[in-house]
Amino acid sequence: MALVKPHHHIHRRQRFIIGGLVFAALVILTLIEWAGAVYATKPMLVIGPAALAKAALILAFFMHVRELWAVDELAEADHDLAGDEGGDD
Amino acid sequence: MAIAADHAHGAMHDDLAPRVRLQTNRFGLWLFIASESFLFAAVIAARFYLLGFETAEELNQTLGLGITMILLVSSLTAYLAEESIATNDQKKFLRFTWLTVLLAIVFVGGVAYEWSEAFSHFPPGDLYGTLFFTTTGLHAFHVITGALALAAVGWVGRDGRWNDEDHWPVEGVVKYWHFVDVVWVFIFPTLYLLQ
Repeated sequence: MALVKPHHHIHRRQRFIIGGLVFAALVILTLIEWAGAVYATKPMLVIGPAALAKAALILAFFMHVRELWAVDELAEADHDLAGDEGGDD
Repeated sequence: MAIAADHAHGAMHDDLAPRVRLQTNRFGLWLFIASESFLFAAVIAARFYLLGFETAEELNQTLGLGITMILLVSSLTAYLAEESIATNDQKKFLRFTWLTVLLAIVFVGGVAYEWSEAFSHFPPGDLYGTLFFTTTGLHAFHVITGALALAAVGWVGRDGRWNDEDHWPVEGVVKYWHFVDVVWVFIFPTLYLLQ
């Protein structure tokens, strides 16, 4: 029962490195938020974009939001597979 | 011939079913996450509507930063747990799963400590206190349920129940955990940093 893993072609070590880099970016952005709250004259201009960037990073790399769009690609693959099976008959 | 064709069709159907099921599961989870997002968005919107950019100086910003870092680390360990089971590394899967649960407990402990301090700062009926307890309480509830779900997949998977080809429950719970992290990404600046 082989389930589809959209990112399975990426090497395991590479995935771990990506996770580490995303985590480092999240920590840096959090510290930027903190500094923005303490030092910036208009903190919202620093905190807002930083928070959005953090959310985008988590959605993209940790939650694999692209899977929602990949459904169409998988459906096409299924269609191709069904076509191949039909051709064999 | 017809029987052979039926067998071929049946085999193809069996092969496709798990894939379709996984797609459906994922789509359902994303819909659930979207509905939860509206809930938290409403609470955060209420905070800005009622208080603007006003912030309570009584809140412990350092503690807020500390528990934020703990949640970020837990997101990394949850990610590593999922990646470990995706490559069939049972040992690392269990290690990172239980580490995530431990970090969740520490986070909830931090929130509990913050609450114990906040009770003395915000008397009943205080507007900021109401929003603070509602927002952090709602989030903490999600953290607790996420931690319980992580513990469940960790416990069930202790004997190798999950593997690289079959681990949807792990993936689903980890996605939920990341969602809880995303929510805190907005709650932390909203309650602790804006001024």
